[in-house]
Amino acid sequence: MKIGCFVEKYNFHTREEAGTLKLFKSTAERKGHSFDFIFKKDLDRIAEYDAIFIRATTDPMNTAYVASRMADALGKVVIDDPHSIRVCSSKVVLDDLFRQNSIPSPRSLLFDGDYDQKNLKRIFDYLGFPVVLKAPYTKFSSHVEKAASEAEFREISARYLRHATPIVLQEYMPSSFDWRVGVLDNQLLYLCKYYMPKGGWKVKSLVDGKQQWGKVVPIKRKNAPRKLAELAIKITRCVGDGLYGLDIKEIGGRFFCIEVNDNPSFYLGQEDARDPDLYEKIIDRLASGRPVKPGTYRLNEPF
Amino acid sequence: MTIVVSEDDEDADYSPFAFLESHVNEDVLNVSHDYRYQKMGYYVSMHAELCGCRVTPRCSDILDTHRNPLLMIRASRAGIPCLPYRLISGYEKDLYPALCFAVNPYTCNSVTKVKSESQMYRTIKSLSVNNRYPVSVQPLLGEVKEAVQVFGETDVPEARAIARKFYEAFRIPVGKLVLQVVDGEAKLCHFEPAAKKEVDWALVRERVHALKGR
Repeated sequence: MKIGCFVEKYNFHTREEAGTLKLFKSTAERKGHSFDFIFKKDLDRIAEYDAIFIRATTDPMNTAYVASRMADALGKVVIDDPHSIRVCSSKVVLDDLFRQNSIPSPRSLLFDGDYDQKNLKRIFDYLGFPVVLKAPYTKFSSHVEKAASEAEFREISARYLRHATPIVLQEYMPSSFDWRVGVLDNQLLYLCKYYMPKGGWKVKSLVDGKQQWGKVVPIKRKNAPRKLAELAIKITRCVGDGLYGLDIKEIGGRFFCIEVNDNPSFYLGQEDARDPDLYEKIIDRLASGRPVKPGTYRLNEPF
Repeated sequence: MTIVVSEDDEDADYSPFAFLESHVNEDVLNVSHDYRYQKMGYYVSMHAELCGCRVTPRCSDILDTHRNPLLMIRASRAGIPCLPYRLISGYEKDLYPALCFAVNPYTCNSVTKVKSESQMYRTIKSLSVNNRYPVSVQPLLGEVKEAVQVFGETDVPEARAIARKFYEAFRIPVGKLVLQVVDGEAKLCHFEPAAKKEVDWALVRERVHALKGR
């Protein structure tokens, strides 16, 4: 089997991420497959491969989406598939998906820039302060901010609305960590706790003027709380049977989904620390010849 | 029953924003002059799909038509005459005269005619956002024409057949086609949103009424 792994230069900038890419390659080769890194200059070569593994940041705005869609159009097995990218890349779409499928998540509203006092009152009465504002294209906790007052709300929302309409507003749910649940083929793949850095409220927060990441605590997937595992599987069944990383908050013994990432990150010694077989499982899925299928809601695909 | 969601109030059963807050289960016709990702036109189709509705246009069609190589692959398969393209991610020599298109999602109206080496260098640098995105390069062989199509109709005579086939294949109600007329034959090069003022809204209304009346 010939596997192409679509990457960008930045995927090799940290030792931890480059290390996982090397492990994907060696795992594939040990199993008798070829595994090539392909860059945007190689897009025209996608047809040569049996399966495409997307590791560059996905979003319909990015070249990774073009790579995924080209592979899909050419009948290749592709992780991330374009359907999952379309669903997971937009917080507006995820918000909609949570509503449609009764997924427990923070209370939320969409906002299109209607600053009428009546509308603002409705928003603040429902969500309270502080209110969390999310641009639809948020990645790695960027473009997610908290507003503690109407003035802050107006300033942040106006900034986000310049690039996308609508944006998502959410109630603030403080917690010291988010669960990160890795799921492949609607089965648990790995489990971590992503802690907020000291003094921050997001996994990547601005603390004392510096962007800081919180620590990552890996946990064996077999030790996942049952309700957490059930929720994670229920959510991915809505999206598809590809590879996902779900961010879930635990508040008072209840679980609330914050987001579903179609292209979860892998860093050496973190996500893979307790369940190192994740490399093999992902390579086997790519080599299976079985395309990634969309989840429980209807989306008509061309071709 | 087809629900019309339109930014043109006269026609609409729903405005786009009201639609996003509703739950429907009928067929949906989404009329917008701009369906780009993260614009309201896109979210209306996405919301309809999440509700399980049949929607025109579909999200996958929207995204495919707005990224040049995906448009070219699908248009060729649909029997639309197209010009060959190459994807490049940095400056290359001897590619001009050419018609270049951004494959990055930010640049609108990116169509650039390139007739010299220095112009090619500048164009690739700009459309690739300093080599961050690929650029689609097609040979410049004939007269370049732009045609705003509305439900497969256009008032540009050379573009009529392509506009009809384009709408049959992709079902994008409104948008601008870029084509080249080579030896008397029109060839599709690109698709992009039309500016609101470029659209014949009277024709849009007429077509919407006809579709609703069916």
